[in-house]
Amino acid sequence: MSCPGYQPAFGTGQLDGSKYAGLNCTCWSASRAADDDSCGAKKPTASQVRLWTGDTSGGTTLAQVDDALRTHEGIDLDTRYRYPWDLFVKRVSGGASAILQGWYAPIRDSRFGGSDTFGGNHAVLVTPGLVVMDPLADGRRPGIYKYQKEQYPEALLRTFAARLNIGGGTYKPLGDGLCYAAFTRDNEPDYLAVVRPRTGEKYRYFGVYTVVNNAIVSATRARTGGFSATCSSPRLYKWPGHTSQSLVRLTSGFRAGQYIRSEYAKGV
Amino acid sequence: MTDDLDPEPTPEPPPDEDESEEPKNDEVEEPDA
Repeated sequence: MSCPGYQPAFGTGQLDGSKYAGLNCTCWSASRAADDDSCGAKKPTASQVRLWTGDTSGGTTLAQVDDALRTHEGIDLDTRYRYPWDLFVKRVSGGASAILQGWYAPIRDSRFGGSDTFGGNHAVLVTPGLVVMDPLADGRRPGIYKYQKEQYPEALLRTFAARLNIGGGTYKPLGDGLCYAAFTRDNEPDYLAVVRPRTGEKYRYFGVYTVVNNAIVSATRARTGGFSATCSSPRLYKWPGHTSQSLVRLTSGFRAGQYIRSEYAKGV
Repeated sequence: MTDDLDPEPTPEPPPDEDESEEPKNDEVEEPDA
């Protein structure tokens, strides 16, 4: 089953007035991970996941929510400890989503802050394209960021992940370049982009687009003797002042991260 | 002539100290939480 471009519904954030609301970020993220993994067929609430864990005393671990979803929804997350950050980005760019644990202070202090005061261990769902679903990002009052399917800067997420406290009562950061994460299955089909010179020509000129916050901000012309690379599924991006463009994001090779027109891509 | 012997089994590496760490999320305490 694949559902290219599917994004789980944000609904209500973790602060929903339920008994464990302030403790439910991991359960909330797991509930949206279930939605994503099942292409919308399964939408448990954060409170439901909390109940399934049987934990009535505090925050929860990735292992607890992984067990809960496996037992009650038949959804098997791939939970990894001390996972290399580069692989995390590659996997999420390739079509998986992931519950990512981290230390909230860097996000709190950015424009994506979902709290004025909270800065401890937290969990968010990162969906393809580094679009983050933060259970605190409910816009509940002025100054609190509201989720809007926005891409977060990779450096911010990397710092969030690296500063995860793995020392319990004594702060001990995980360390740069590592993360604790639980991945959904990849429900995006694999795509391959191929750019080759036209017959009889030595080079092919093609557009390379810069995308910021899901909108095209600029385009340049590049030249190639020919290349192929894996890429994301096609998505339509707004381009203020121009016609919207269907683009793919290259995910391998030296052009990884660049956006080109979807006409060069095909499902494999 | 020599018999082929099974190689000596490699001992299991000791568990990584960090692998047993299971960080939990902290509680959000806000006026409106």
